[in-house]
Amino acid sequence: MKTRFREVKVVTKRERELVNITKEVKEFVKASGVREGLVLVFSKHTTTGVFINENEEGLEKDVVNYLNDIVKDEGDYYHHHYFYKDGRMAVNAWAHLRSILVGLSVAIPLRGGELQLGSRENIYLAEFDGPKERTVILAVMGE
Amino acid sequence: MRVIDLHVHPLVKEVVVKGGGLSLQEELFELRTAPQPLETLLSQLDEAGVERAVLLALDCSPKGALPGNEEVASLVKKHPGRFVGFGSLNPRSLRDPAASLRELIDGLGLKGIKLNPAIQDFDPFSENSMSLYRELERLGVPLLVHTGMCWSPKHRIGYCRPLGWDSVARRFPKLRIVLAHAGWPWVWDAVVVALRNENVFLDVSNTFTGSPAEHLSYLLTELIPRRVTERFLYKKLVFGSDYPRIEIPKMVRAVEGLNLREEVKEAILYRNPLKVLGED
Repeated sequence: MKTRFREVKVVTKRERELVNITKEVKEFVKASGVREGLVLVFSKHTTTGVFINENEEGLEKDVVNYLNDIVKDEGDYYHHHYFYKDGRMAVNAWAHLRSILVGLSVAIPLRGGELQLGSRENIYLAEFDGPKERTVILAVMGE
Repeated sequence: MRVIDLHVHPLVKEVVVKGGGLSLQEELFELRTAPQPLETLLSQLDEAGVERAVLLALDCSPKGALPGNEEVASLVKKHPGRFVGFGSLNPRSLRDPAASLRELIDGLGLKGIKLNPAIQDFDPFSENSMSLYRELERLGVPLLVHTGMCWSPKHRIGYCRPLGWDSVARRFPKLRIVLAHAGWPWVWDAVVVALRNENVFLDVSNTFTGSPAEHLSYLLTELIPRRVTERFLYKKLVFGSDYPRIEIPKMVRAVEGLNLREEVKEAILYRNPLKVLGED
């Protein structure tokens, strides 16, 4: 079985936004030479998310707005205190909570060297506390 | 609302890596988060609607400088419409304040000075320090100085008490002095100094008691009653974020959301920072 691994840097522009990373994943799979197997897309940041959905501009806004609505920015969050480990205040509980709701990874089956995505399915990195440089791990395994 | 951020430490990847790496950042600032690329600092300014940001050098010689004066000047040169540079000198080792300042102001084009008596480990009220303030006043160069909380027990917090700045302000009445963090938790001491002295301002940077919205609401409408902020301090408060210890959009949003008159928030975010920069 063959395995390949790549770290992709994604520099986000907004505090909250969705970045379509489907192209990067497809290029990675193609370069890996793996035709039958599975590709994993995983974010290394607990204030981001990775998910699959339709790439429609209105829907992208709806996703951001919906997550803003269900996890409020202001609340009596225990997390909002001085964080000695970092040497700064932690003030982004809402970003962590949105990340938990979305999840940090997706796995996509491969067949004939192609991602088996539906015609409307795209892979997104969700930024919940940007703008920041983010690292996404791509890992493929198969034959 | 128009915004000028008077308190930005450009601890971006390009600067930190070149200037001694994460170990120096941790030693000086006790900041253990990975530095972000400059591109994301610019995006934070865009996201927050900040027109200009004051980038602060910090001279901690002999340990090093992070960033150094040249580094700040170079960032300003790359983005002249976006950044204003404040240099830094260490009064402990300063031999010729006039010459050193000339180099920073005339040579590098920097517009102000940042000092942090705790991290730089100098007595801000020594005669050596006074000789620097005298030159700053003579040249019309503003001073932004750390006051208040310093989380690291490595540094002397006694140097961060704001009340002593009253005598500096009275001795150099034309020197524009910004007391960072409004002296928190010695806020009333800082308020007294600002109210007594026309040349003293308080920056509202960082958050110490919760989220930016929680802290600034507490600071400017409870600890200092709203009526005191609106009636007495509206010309004295200036905006600063303290990036990267806090993200700039969160701080701007917190000020914009305060239960204060709109004209007071506009003054904090823009008009009063202009006064500090001598552009009013």
